[in-house]
Amino acid sequence: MSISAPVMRAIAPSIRRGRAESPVSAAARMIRVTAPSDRVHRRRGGALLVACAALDAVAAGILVLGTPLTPPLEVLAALVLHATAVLLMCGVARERTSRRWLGVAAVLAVPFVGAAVAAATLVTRGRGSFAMECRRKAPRQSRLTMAAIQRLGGALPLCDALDGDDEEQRRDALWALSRRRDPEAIALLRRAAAGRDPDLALSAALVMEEIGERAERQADPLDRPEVQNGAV
Amino acid sequence: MAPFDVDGGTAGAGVGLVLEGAYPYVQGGVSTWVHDLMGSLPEVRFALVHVGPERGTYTRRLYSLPANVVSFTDLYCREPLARGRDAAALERVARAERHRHAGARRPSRVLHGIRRLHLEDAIDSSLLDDLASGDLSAGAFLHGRASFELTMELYERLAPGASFLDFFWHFRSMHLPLVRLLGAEPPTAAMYHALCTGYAGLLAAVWSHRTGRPFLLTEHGIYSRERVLELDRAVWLHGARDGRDSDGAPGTIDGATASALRKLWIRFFRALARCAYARASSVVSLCEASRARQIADGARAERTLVVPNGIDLEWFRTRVHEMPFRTAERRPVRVGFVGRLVPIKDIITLIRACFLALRVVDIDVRIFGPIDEDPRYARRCRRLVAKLGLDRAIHFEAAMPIERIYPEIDILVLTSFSEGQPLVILEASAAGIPVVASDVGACRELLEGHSDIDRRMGPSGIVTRLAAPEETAAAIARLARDPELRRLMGATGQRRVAMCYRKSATVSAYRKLYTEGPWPASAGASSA
Repeated sequence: MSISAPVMRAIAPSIRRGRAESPVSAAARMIRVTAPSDRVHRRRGGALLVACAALDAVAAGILVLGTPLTPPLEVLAALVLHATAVLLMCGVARERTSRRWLGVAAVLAVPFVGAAVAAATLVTRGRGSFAMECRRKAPRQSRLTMAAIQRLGGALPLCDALDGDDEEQRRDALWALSRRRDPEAIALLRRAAAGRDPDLALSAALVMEEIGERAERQADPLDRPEVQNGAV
Repeated sequence: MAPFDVDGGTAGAGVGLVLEGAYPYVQGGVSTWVHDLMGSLPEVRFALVHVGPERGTYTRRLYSLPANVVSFTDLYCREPLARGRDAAALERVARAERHRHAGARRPSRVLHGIRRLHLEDAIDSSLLDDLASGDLSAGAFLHGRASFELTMELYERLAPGASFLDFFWHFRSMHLPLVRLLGAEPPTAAMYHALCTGYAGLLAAVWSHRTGRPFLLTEHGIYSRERVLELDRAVWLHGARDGRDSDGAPGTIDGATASALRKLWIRFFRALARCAYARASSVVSLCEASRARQIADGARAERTLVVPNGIDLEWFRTRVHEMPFRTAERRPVRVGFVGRLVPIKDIITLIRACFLALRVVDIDVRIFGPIDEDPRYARRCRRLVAKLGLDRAIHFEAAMPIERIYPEIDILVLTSFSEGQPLVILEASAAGIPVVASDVGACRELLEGHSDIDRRMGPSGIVTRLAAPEETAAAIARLARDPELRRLMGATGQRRVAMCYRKSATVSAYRKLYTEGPWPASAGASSA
């Protein structure tokens, strides 16, 4: 369709590159770098679990194999070691509270083997976890600003905007229709595509194509560009 | 008597051909047209100038230059201030440039011209004088105070509600190519010919103004309108109304800024087109619809003319032999599409139309064309075919030589969103195949005629609305059911091509334009 689209497409990325080099973006990168990562927490949790298991193992060893100490002292030493192991378990602070308490209970109730149960509790994911994660990541609806309310109040009905001469209003109407994707929007787009104005017809047809493409992409997540490019 | 020596004499070329993102690096209709035209005019010496985005974008020439090309120059919109891999050295050069231009307040004519491009509608000789002066270096544009002051002024006047940071970077990206290109030296040529408006068109207009040589402009598509479409869909300019874009992801820029920047870019490309239209002695288009658009966009009606593309009938007949007309007893009727599998060709509508047509007629559909330009879209088409259960009725074929395509087709269908003057319609018509095409570009003219005499011949196909599968299906069914109608339309198409769309006529028209003009409207030395 266009003979020089490559030229413009190549100019466009430079805008982004330019912006990425601004001090604001650089500061944002710094913030991301200074915040501790998940990996660090995971490593710490693992170390605590190992220490916990080791202390319980020593406690069990004292009780089973015996030491030169007197029996009351042996029991006391084993209890101290077990209590320390339980306290260490409480230190796995990154985990959700319920999981942490489950781990602590396991270590407390079943010395030595309890540490393994706690580890299994912490590293496996419950059935509801994925759905909860999705809910957590779902975009929050932004609040309607005063400017948006004013725009809505003063806006033409989409149909009139499409029929009007104002290019910007038409563009906004097409943009709004592309977001709606309902049968009424498709009907309006079809009407515009069948109209006499070739520019509007082409724009409406392209919006319909875009809606169709997006709908198919959502129906089949494997065809997302990032998946195709091997980025995910 | 030819006013210009198109063979270029001993020094220089006859025609300085200015191209943007096309021949010889990009395959497509325009590139093929350029190659054919140069090959058909061996007596004319061409100096080619190709405007590309940046060094390295195009690495391989896809066409070998004909012997009558005397020079070839690459110009780039973007180039670093200094070359090399040493980042520290590049940083030093940038610092030095900044230091050199930071305090400079010298007025620049190019900056004045840029200001007028954005604030005034009229394009006159003094504006071209300003742009032709080329008195602004890239360093001065990037780091000069005058340039920054112009950015501030235009921001306040054109986009006061937008983010200044965004406006600043867009303004730079928009004009840096212009500043670089305006500083380039024109090739020595008797005249300049640009194949589009945009940066290439402006460059040719400025060179023509600077040297006093005539300027011919040919547009296959309407560049500024294509850019508007592209800007509407550009991801990098996707504003977010209410903070989010259509997929719910945070938008890159806010809605007001996006709207202001889009207007700025559109105004800029329209201004470039107006500059080219104002300077061009002749503004050529492929069809009446495009000519009307050029006039609406600022071209003077008396300077516009239509030179349609044509095909070499003798050559075509040697390759695609006359096919005995296939009668109704042979089933199914073969429907074909010839072209790239890209969204602009709207193959999805073609597939849907065939799905609907298959309910009433027996058809066998072949889609001929390369899929490598947009493999995702090709996959989408194949998936739709599978979803609709049409695997046995619709076949995807690779690109093939024409002698293997047209004998396999009874009806050609073209459902494109946008076309200039599609060569496939000319080829199908020449082969006696009726066509169903959407009402875009020159399709209606090609199928129903462009003049009274032409129209009296009757239709050589059926024109449908854009993205209308039901209408396309009805047209396919009508032709598939009626072999006599197919025969009639096919014969009309052959007559129409023989009468109105011969390559020899196109070549003669350009030979005449190159040698005879009309030039008086714009030829003359610049005052720059």
